[in-house]
Amino acid sequence: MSHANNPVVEIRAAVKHYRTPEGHAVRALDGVDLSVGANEFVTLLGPSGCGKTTLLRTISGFESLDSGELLIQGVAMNQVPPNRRPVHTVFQSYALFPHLSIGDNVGYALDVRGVARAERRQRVGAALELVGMGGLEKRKPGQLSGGQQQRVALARAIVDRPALLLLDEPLSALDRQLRQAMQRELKNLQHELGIAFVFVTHDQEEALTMSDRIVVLNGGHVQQVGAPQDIYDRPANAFVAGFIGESNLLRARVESCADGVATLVGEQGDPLRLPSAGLQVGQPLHILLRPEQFHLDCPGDPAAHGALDGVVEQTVFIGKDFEVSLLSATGSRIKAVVRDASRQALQRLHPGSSLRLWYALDAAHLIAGEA
Amino acid sequence: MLTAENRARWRLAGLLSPATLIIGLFFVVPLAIMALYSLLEPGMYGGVEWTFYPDNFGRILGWADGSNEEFDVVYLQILLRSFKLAAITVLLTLLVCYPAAFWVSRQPERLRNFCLFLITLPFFTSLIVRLYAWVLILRPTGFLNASLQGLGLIDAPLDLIYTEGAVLLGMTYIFVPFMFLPIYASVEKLDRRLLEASADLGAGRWQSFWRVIFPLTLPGIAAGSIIVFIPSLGNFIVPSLLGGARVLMIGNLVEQQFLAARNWPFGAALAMLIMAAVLLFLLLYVRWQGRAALKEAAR
Ligand SMILES: Nc1ncnc2c1ncn2[C@@H]1O[C@H](COP(=O)(O)OP(=O)(O)OP(=O)(O)O)[C@@H](O)[C@H]1O
Ligand SMILES: [Mg+2]
Repeated sequence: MSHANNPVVEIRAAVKHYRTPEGHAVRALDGVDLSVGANEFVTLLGPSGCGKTTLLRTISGFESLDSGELLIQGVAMNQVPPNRRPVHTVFQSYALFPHLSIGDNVGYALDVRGVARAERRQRVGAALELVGMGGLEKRKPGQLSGGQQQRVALARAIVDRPALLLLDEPLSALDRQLRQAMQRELKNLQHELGIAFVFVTHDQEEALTMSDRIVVLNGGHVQQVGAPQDIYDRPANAFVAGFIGESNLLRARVESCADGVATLVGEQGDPLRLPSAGLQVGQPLHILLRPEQFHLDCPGDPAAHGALDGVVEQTVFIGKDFEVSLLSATGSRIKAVVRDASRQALQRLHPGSSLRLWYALDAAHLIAGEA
Repeated sequence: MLTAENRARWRLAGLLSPATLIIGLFFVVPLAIMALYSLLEPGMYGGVEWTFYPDNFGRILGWADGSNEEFDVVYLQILLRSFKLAAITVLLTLLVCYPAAFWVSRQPERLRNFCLFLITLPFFTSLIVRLYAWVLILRPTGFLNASLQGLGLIDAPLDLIYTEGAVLLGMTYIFVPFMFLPIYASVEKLDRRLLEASADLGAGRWQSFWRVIFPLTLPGIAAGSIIVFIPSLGNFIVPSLLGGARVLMIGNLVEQQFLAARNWPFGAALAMLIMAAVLLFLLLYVRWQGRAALKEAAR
């Protein structure tokens, strides 16, 4: 994938303020950089109000930037109205035209451009076929289920092969099963069409399963951009670590650095000895440990593992694994998912008993912490 | 023994009977009397003779044989003019109200409610008083002519009052609220997101208007047009105040027959013809637009 060379969208230092009716200024985008490559599936992920919709609407042209640059296929878009941008949107509310038939809804972009009848019919049919709605041209939107309307909205947006498709939480109104089916279909469709997708969601699972790259936003800032695995395994900061997946963040401090080995003390149990590259004495850190990175017994060389002591608060059997909530010696609550290898776990995991959890040192991911 | 269905039916009948009574007493019965009168012979000094007499219609439509009544084409001309003026009134009120409804619907809530209040304000004062105000403005010695003369823009008073223009002005003036409210209701209901979707799919303003805004507000336009057209057609107050003897409408004719000439059968025949015309018009409307509009309204 060569999105570095010919990005479909390039956004540089985008800033957008809203003025509320009370006269306050809300900073919805605060210096956002983003580039989306051809045929790339990029997801905007973040909590409610972080600016996802705003970013999408600046790309589609319904909001203008206060400052910064927006290029689509290398062309500056600041003065280009929405109807002249090679971009279509799948709206959360679907926004199908209630007075038009499904065929006319899907053919809208073609009609507006005056595409000839025969070609129009063929392309509308093909687009509906692609989303599994072939032969429903005559129906009205009011006669379709929510999931079907969703597909029609999708067909309408891809019928003339835009360079880029924007999707604002398109699946949030669907029930769980349909949602998962649509996730797969969307991904396949994107692959087949070769259109770049910018997909908005605040469901991290959805983001992780569908995306080529994820953009994590918070408070109008880009927190991290990366492949799903990168974001999950190596979050750039405490916010991303906390937002994506279950995580335990343990506070620690670099106590000494000598001969390329740094010693960390803090909440993580016994002092940790790690490669000192990039670390300074006195530096505060977070150690990220995912629940599934804990073990009940030391799986190998004890020198390569850290140990954390605490008291079991609660244990829940979740099928195969146990979900353990542990109150550490320093008072942090640790969430661990451990497997019962020895078949004696139930005893050790009884609430109130003391427990030692092990983790591999190379699994621990360090995040710079605040002083 | 009453089944649930029967009970519901009786309850419905009970609830509907006052309305049925009022409509029956004050609408159906007078209408039946009118229909009957239109086919009876006018009495010498008002009243009717109880003989069948198709010449009331004959005078208007052309089969009066000349022995009793003369066919006069002037009635048809007046009917035609009434249709023309009513249609133009619909167009003018539409032109005023359609853009205004969009403007009002975009205002913040307080201003919006205030605007709606202003629109309904004329209902609180007498129609006659308001039309007399126009007489005072338009007549040769009136406000408009006096001002223009005072400014030296004209030498002699303009011929403003007692013209078709004056009648149209008055009718537009009184029927604007009737057009505005249904149009506003459909404009207000218009989903802004559909306009965004339209622009997103490449439509310019003009295309968005014809492809999305216009069809979705058409039910309001149609409803407003009917509500304005029907009373405009039969209106006699405006033409008698602002049209005088020069711009008679069919309503004036009916009024004259009932009050001045005391020829009730002929007045009734004229009224029946207006009603037939309106019904025909409504029938066409229901045929063409009605299906879509009713479906839309039912949602
Ligand atoms: N039209 C507006 N006027 C004023 N403030 C706005 C407007 N639209 C959005 N905002 C504010 O801008 C910020 C970003 O909003 P945005 O809609 O982009 O969030 P989002 O990430 O899409 O959230 P969600 O996940 O809830 O949809 C929020 O604080 C919001 O309150
Ligand atoms: Mg949003």
